[in-house]
Amino acid sequence: MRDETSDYLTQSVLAPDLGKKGTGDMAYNEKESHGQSENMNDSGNGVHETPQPTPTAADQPAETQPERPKAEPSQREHAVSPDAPDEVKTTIAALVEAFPSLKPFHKEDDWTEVVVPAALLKDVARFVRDDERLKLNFLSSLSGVDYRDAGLQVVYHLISIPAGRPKLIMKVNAEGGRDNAHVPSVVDIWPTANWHEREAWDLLGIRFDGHPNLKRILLREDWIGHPLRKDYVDSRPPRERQYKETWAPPSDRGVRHDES
Amino acid sequence: MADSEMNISTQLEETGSGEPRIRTEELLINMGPQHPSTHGVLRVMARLDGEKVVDAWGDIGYLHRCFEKIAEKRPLPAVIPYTDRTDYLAALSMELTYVLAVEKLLNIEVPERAVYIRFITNELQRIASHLLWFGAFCLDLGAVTGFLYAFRDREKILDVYESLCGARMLYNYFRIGGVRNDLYQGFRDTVLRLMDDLEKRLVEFDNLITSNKIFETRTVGVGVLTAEEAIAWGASGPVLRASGIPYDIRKADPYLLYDRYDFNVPVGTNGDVYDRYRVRMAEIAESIKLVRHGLEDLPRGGDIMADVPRRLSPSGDTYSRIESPRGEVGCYLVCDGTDVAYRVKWRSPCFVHLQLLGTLSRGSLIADMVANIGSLDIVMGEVDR
Repeated sequence: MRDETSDYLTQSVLAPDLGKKGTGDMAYNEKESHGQSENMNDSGNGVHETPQPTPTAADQPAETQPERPKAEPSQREHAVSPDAPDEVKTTIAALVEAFPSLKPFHKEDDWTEVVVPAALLKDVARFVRDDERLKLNFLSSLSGVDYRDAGLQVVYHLISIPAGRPKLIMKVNAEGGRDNAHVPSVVDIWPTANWHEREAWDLLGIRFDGHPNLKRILLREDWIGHPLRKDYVDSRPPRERQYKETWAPPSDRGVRHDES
Repeated sequence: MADSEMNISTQLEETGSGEPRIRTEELLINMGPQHPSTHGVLRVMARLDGEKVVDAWGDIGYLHRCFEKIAEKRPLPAVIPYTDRTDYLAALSMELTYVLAVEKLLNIEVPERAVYIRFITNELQRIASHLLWFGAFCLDLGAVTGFLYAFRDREKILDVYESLCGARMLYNYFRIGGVRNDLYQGFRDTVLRLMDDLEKRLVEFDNLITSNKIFETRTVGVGVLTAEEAIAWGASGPVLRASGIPYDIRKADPYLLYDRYDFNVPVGTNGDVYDRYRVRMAEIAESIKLVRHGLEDLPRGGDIMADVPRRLSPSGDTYSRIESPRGEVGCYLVCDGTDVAYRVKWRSPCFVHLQLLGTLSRGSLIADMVANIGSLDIVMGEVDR
């Protein structure tokens, strides 16, 4: 059961085409291609730059920009569509002005998204917090994501309070490979990142350079491994085996089908 | 005498000026993880100088179930019951955050009647949660009467939920694309009567607690959180608003029907424990108003479920956030085109608020630390997930 699930997931992540066979996916593909053609029309008017065809940004070093496992539709459009909310346009303008190498884009609703190289993170973070136009003083969430071979990623959701906008998503790909993944800490910029970063270290094994107290927070200190990693293997004895050894269920109904 | 033997001794020692003074030592004490005032299995460490708190910090993880890993192993709809178990006192808020995220990825339009049902039940949830907080907080301060009164009224809301979906705490009621079942016969009248009742009860609570001299002494000026600190530490919900910031996701980023109805966002001035109490009680009154509005405009009939494909296979990532009774709940959902989420991350307000413990308690009395923890409205299931 366990292997089946993980294989299924592996296939679809590493080779996105494999997962696109169900009817639900067909519908999604249609929508996606529709959105893309709309965007092409926009750029045909000469108002915007041509969207980049592939998600790999050529201007960033390969190790800070590992190829994402799947190309999101929004990742391809770096141009601002005319119907994007004003805050999104302001955010994109401010970011590009200060950091010409960044490629922010309109994500959804009024969220702006930008992929930031780990080396630039501290500068960008300080800029978006202090800039008069942005004032992103509230770190709503800090999430780590394990993209298998593509590496680990940290996602920052930022909001300006009390207005509630603009809103910015910063994605930072961890440097140093899976065994030594690390990202600069932003605790000195948003103190609330403290426990979030400890959680990301605890569950995903991302090191945050400059964190004052990077210890496990949810798990025991002697825990082995980082459970939210996709390749995590539980080192404890499997529950099912213990269960079978002590008592044999009368029928299939009694067997637990969940994994360890 | 060895240093280790001196830890409880208080001795006279000579100071430079020749006057003897009492030499004291800091004492490290441990509260919990099994302690009546910690609202669950929370362990608090405090360094004390006499009765003054020098520093305090929380140790969490006793209730950790790695919910986020479970969510990566189950089909998308099967995660909903697990979300209930995170914040078990406002389970519908957690369900709502999750279904909103999935619906955003799948572009599902939820039928009007289902939106109204979600809206009403969610606001009822806020009232129930704030009532429970009120009761538990009174208990923290040693006032048992408030606890009994609050539980009496919360019970009636739980009865409504029991009739609606069969459960009193862990509802499993929202579905991706709507709600599980329609309202029962007489829901409207029961809830309207309940709201009338509650409005009178609020006056009763007010008379009982608000101007109570002992209560004021224990709460006014205790655990002050400035607006700057609140924002920097990521405080949200009533904790942020008590510090004077009028920020409510229901206003700033409306979901469900919050953009249709007018309601006030209660704001405090001092950011102390007392203000947090006032803000929450005022929010109950606003929620009563919203429930009434919702019941008034509730469509008479219609679908309660959207047409949702049998096999869900969303792709991409999204972040949905709502205003739960405790603050900003966020769900960062990454999907890879299969029917199982690739990554689910919860932003839970209590997890963030617990970081404030040191800031709030430093310099205050040890007894006030209990009031501080209580005023943050901590639910450990949500902290540890």
